[in-house]
Amino acid sequence: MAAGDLAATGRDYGSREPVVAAPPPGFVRRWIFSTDHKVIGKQYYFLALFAAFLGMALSLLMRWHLIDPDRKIAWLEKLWPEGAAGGIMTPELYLSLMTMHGTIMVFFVLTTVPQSGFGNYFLPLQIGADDMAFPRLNMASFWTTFVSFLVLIAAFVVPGGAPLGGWTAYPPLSGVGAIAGPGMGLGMDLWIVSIALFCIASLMGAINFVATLVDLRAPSLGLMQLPLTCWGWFTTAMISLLAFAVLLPGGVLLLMDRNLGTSFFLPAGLVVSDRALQHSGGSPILWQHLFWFFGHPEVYIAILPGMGFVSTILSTFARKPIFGYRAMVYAMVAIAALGFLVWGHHMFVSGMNPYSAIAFSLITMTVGVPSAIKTFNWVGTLWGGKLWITTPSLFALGFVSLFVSGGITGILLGQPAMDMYFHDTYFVVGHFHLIMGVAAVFAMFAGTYYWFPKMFGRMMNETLGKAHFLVTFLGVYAIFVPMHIAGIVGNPRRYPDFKEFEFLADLKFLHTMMTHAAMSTAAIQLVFLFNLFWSMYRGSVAPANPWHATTREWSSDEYE
Amino acid sequence: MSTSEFQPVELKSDVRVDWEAKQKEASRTGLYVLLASILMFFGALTSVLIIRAGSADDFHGVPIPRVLWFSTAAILASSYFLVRNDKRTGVVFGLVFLAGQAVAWVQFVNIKGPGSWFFWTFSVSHAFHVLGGFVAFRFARFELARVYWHFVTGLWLYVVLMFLIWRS
Repeated sequence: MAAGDLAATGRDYGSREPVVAAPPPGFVRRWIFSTDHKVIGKQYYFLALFAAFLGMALSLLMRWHLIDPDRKIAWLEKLWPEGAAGGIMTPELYLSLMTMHGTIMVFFVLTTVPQSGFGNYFLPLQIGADDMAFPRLNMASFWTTFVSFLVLIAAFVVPGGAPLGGWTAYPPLSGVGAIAGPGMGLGMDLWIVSIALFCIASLMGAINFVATLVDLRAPSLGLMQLPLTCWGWFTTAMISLLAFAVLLPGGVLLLMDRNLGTSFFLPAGLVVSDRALQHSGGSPILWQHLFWFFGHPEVYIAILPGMGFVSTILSTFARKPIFGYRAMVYAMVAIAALGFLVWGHHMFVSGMNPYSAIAFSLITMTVGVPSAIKTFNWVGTLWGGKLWITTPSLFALGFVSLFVSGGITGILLGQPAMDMYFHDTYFVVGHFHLIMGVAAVFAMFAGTYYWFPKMFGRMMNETLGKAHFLVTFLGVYAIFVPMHIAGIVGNPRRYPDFKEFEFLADLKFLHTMMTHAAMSTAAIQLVFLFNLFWSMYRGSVAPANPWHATTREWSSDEYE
Repeated sequence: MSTSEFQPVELKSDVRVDWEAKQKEASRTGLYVLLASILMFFGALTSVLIIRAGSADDFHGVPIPRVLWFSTAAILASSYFLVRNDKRTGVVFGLVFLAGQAVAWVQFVNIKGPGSWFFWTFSVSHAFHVLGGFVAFRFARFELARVYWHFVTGLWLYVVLMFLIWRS
C-alpha cells in the first residue's frame, strides 16, 4: 500500500462528528482517570519507567554484592535493618532483591511498555480508530495494574520484607508461609495478590486490543495491510488472553495452600525449618506446569511487540518496504502459537518422562524457524536499503543483534541433555537476559526515540541518544556474554556468594567485569532519563513526520 | 526526502462507514475473547483436578448436595426465560440459583478433604462469573449479556459434570 493510501484510510469517512474531541475538563479527568488511549498509554509508560529504574537499582545492589559479599555498606542497614544487619547483605536479602528484580522487570516493564504503553497509544492511531474499543475498560486496566504494582512494592515494607522465591515462586517453599524464611509470610501473599491483579488487568487489556483490532480498523485497511506493529500487539493480546487466564487460577490455588490449609501444590512429608507440615498429596510440579504454561508465552508477550517495532523502524530507516511482509506475519503467528507448546523445556530437570522431553525439545527448536525467518527478513529489509543512521534505527539494529545472540543459546538450552548441565547456571541467566530482557528493552528504546516526536511534539537529542545506544549496546554484551562463560564453568545462579566454591575462584575477574559493566550501563541510562525529560520541554519542535514514515499515526492530527 | 510526498490522497466520497455498527461488533468480539479466557481459567482448574485426583491416593470424591440439582434447574430456567426475552424473570432465577449455591455451601462447610477443595474452587469461581452476569445485565447490551449468561449456564453444567465424575 502506498504511503498516501495508508494516510487516508483513517478518519472522515461517513458522517461522524469531528474525531478529535476536546479533552475532558479538569486535571483529574484529563490526566488521572482518563479514558483517552493516548493518556493511558503514557500512564503505562511512566509507571513502567519508574519500575524499570527500580528494578535496575535492585540488580545493581546484587551485582555489587557479588564481587565482595563481605563488604559493609552502612546505608544498606538503614534501608534493611534486618536484611543487612551491620551493613552486610544477608543471603535472604539478596534473594528478595532477586525476586523483586525479576518480578518488577518481567511484569511491570517487559509486559507493560511494549504492549500497554506503546500499543495503547499507537494502535488506534495506526488503524484509524478514535480510541480503543472499550475506553473505560482500558482505564480500569491501567489502574488495576497500578494497584498491582503498589501491592508488590508493599512487600518491601511489611514485616519480613519481600519474598525470596524468585519470579517463578516455586512451591513447596512458596506455599508454606513464613517458616520458609523472611518474606515468605505476608510478603509472599502480597506477591501472589499482586500477580493475580496483574493477570486481571492484562486480561482486560487484551480483550480491548483484540476487539479494537478486529472491528475498529478503517474500512479499507485489511488485516494483511496492517503495520507489523499492529500484528505484534495482536498476537501478544491473543497470548495474554490465554496465558494469564491460566496463571490466575494457579495463583488462587497457591494462596489457598498458604492460607486455607489445602494441598494442591504441597506434598506429604514436608519438613521446613525443622517443622513437620501436615500437607499431603499435592504436587509442586503441578505449579511448574501452570506457571510455565503462562511463563513461556510471557516471553513472547515481551518480545513480539518489539519485533513489530523493529520491523517498522528498520523499514522506515532503510527507506524500503519490509522484506517478506506475509512471511513476517505468519512467523509472528507461528511464534505465538508454538509458544504454548514448549513450556516443558523449563522443567527438564524437574523430573519428566524422556519422551515428553523430546517432544518439548523438538517443538522448542521449531520456534527457531519462524525466528530465523524474521531475522532473515530484517536483514533482507536492510539489504540494498539506504540506511539512515539515527538513534531509533541503531536501537532497532541492536535488537536484531541481541535477538540472534540471545536466541542462539536457546537452541542449546532447548536440548534436555545440554539443559541438564546448564540448568540453574549463569548460562541461563545470560540467555534470557539477552533475548527476553535486553532485546525487548532495546525495542522499547527504539520505540521511545522513534515515537517521542509524536508523543511529545519534540525531538529527543540525537547525540545523547547515540551515546546512550553505544554504551548500552557494548555494556549489555559485557554483562551477559561473560555470564554464559560463567555458566559453562558451572557457576550456579541465585547464589549470593561463591566463596565456598574453589572451582569458581578464577571467575572473580569475570564477575568484577560484569559488575563494572552493569554500573556503566546503568549510568548511561541516567543520560537517557535526562534526555527524555529535557527533550519533553526543551527539545527542538518536531515536524509532523520527522522520520518520513508511512504508517498512519504520523498523519494523524491527534496529540496529547 | 521532503514531507510533501506524504500528503493524503483524495478520499472517495462514496465510502460510508457505520461506526456505531463497528463499535457493536467490537463489543461482540470482546465478549467472545472474554469467554475464551474464561474457558482457559476453568480448563486450568480442570487439569489441576485431574492431576490432583490421579496422582495421590488421599483423594476422595465428595457427595453432591441435593440442593445443587435445584440450583441447576434454576439456572436452566433463567436461561430459558432469557431466550424468551424475559430479562426480569431470568435475572430472578439467576438470584434463585445463587441462593441455592449459598445453601449448598452452608451444607458443605464441614466436609473436608481434597475433593471438597475442588467443590469450593469450582463453585465459587463459577459464582463470581454469575455475579459478572448481573453486572452485564446492568451495563451491557441485552443480547450480549444474554450470550454471556448462556455461557455461564453451560459452564455450570460442565462444573456439575466434574462433580458427577469425581463424586463419592
